[in-house]
Amino acid sequence: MEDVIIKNGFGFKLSEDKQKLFAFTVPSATPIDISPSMLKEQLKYEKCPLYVDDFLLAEFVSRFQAKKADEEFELEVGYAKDAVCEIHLNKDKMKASLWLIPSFNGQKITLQDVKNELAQQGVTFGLVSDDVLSELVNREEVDNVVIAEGAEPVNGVDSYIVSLLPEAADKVPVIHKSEKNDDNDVVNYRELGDILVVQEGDLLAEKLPATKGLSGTNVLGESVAQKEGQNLPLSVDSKSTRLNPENKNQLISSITGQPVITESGAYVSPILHLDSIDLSTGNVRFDGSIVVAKNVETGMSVFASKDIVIEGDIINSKIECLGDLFVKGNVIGNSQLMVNGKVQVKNGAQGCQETAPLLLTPRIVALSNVILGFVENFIVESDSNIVVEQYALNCNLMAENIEVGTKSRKASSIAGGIAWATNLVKAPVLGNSSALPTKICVGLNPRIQLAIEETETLLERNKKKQDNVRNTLTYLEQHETPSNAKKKMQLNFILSELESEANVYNLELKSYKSEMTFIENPKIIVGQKVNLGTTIQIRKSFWKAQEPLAKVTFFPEKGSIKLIKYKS
Amino acid sequence: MKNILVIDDENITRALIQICLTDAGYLVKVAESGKQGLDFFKAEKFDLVITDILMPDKTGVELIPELLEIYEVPIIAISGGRRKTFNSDHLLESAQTSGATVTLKKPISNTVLCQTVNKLLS
Repeated sequence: MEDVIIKNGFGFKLSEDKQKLFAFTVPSATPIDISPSMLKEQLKYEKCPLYVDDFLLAEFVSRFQAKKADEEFELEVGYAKDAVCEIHLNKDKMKASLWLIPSFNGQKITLQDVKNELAQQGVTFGLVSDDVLSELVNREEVDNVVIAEGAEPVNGVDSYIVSLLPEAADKVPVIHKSEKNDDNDVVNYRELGDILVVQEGDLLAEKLPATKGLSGTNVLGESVAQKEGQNLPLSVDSKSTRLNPENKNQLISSITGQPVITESGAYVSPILHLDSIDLSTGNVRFDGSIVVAKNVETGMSVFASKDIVIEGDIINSKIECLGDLFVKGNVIGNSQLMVNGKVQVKNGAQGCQETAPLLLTPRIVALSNVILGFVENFIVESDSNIVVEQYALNCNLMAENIEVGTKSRKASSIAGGIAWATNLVKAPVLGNSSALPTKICVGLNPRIQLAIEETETLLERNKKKQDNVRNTLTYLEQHETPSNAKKKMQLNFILSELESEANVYNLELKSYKSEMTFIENPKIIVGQKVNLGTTIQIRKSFWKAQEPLAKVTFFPEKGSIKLIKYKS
Repeated sequence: MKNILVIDDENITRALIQICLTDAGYLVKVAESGKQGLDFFKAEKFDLVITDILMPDKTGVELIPELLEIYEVPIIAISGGRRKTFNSDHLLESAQTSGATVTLKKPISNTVLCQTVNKLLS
C-alpha cells in the first residue's frame, strides 16, 4: 500500500513508522456518500498491511456524513497488531484445538509461542508431533485444528449369558449301511431334526463375568474413569436347573426337557412344544410330554415318556407314548398309535385299505380307553373300552367293551371287519344294507384268545423243528463218522434249546388259559337293526343273520345264543 | 438270601422270572402293578428290583425314580414282548434316563437274566 491514498472526498495514510493508519477528509465539490464496508473494500484493494478497526472506521464514516462541507478532520482507523495464538479445550478435556490469527505488521507466532501456550494451559497428553505443529505455525492462520487428543476410556461389559448347547450343525445324518456293501447306503434325514433336548446333567449356559474396562487420559494428562460392567446375577430355575458344582457360573439341567436360554440364565421345559413334526424337526423322542400345534407329517416317528397332544392331524406316522394321547384332528393313512394310557381322537381315524411291506398297518393300541370320533380301516386294540362316537367301518376292534354311535344322530353302525369284546358290544346298527360281512364276538377275552392262538402256532412250529432235528439225529446215529459226531453234538445242543423253548411256550399257554376266566354275562345290544351278512359269536356259539332284525339283544343261554327284543 | 422284587402286569412274565430266579436261589416277591410294587418296596428291603415299563397304572419310567427316592437299589428295566409294535428301544432308553441300572429287551433268556442278576448282586 502506498503511504498516502487520495480518493474523492476522503483519503488514507500510514504513519511514518507504518504502525498506524489514518482516514482523512478531502475537500470535494459534490457530496460524497461513503460506508464502512465500502472503505474496507477499498483498503483491501490497496492491500493495507495494518489491522482495520471496524469501530473506528464506523466512527469516521459517521463523522464524515455529519461534517459541514468545509470541515476537515482525520481519524485513526487502523493499527499494527501482533499475531494471536489460542488453544481451546473442549468440555470433557479430551481434545485441544489450535487457533492462529495472523499478525498485521506485528509479531508473528513461533513454534515456541504455541508450546508456551500449551504449557500454560497444561496440555501434556496426546499432542501431535513438533513437525505437525511447525507446519501449522507456518500457515499463520489456523482455524480450530485439533492438536492434542486424549485416550477415551474403555467401558466394561456387563456380565452376559452364552449358550453351551450344541449347535444343530453339529448333528450328522444317520447313515444306514447297505448290507451288500454297495453304493446303496440310505441316509436317514428324519433323524436329523433341529430339536434340541437336554438330559439331566447336561450343560446349558454360562455366565461370562462383567469386565472392568480401562481408564482413559485427557489432554491434561488426567485419568478419566471408565464405566465398569455390572455383574448381573445368574438366575437359577430350581425346578429345572442347578449350578455346576465345578463352575458356579455354569448352569446344568436337572431334568430332561427343552432348553431355553434367557438373558439372565436358562430353564428347561418338561413339555416339548413344537409347531409341527416333519423333516425339519426330524423324528422326535422326548422324555416328557409333547405338544404339537399342527400336524405330524408323513413318515415321522414320535415317542414321549409322558403325554402327547396333537392339535392337528397324524398323517402316515408312528406315535408312541407312555402317558395319554390326545389328537384334535384326524389320524390318517398308515399311522400307528401305541399308547400306554388312553387315546382320544376328536375327529376320527381313517386308515388306508391298501398296505405294503414298507408301510405301517393302520393300528391303535392302548392299555386304557380309546375314544374316537369315527374309525375306518383301522385295527384298534384296548385293554379297556373302545368308544366310537359315530361309526366303525371295516375295522378290527378288540377291547373289554365296545360301544359305537354314542353321539351320532344317524343310524351309526359297525359295518365290515370284526368287533371283539370280552363283555359287551353295543351299536345302533350291525352290518350294512349291502350285507357287508361283519363279525361281532363277545364272551372270550380277545387278547388272551389271540395270545393262546399265537403261542399254539409257535409251539406247533417248535415241535416240527424238534421232529426235524430228531430225524437228522437218528440218521447221524446210523451213519457214524468223526464229522457226523461233531454235527450230532451241535444238533443235540439245538434240540435242548428247542425243548427249553417249548417248555416256556407250554408254561405260557398254561398261564394264558388260567387267565381265560369265564365271562359271566357277555352281551351284544343292537339299538336299531342287524343287517344280513352279520355273524354273531358268543363264547363258542355262532349265529348268522338270515334276514334283517330290529332292536335285539344277544346273550348266551345253555350253550347257544338267545335273542330278545331290545328295549332302550 | 438276596431279596428280589419283580413288577410286571403280565402274569406270564412274572411267573417265568419268578421260576428262573427262585431256581437260582433268590427270594422273589412279585407285584402285578406299579402301584403294588411301590407298596411292597416301601414295606420291605429289597436287594434288586426288576420292573416292566408298559404298565397300566404306573409306567416303569415313572416308577423307577420313585423307588430310588425311597432307597438306592439296582434296577433292571424290561420291555417288549406282547405289544410288539411298541419300539422297546425308546422305552428302555427312557428307563435308563429315569435311573434303571440295566435294561433288557423281552423275551429274556433265563441265562441272560440270571447272569445279569448275579452280576448286579455280587
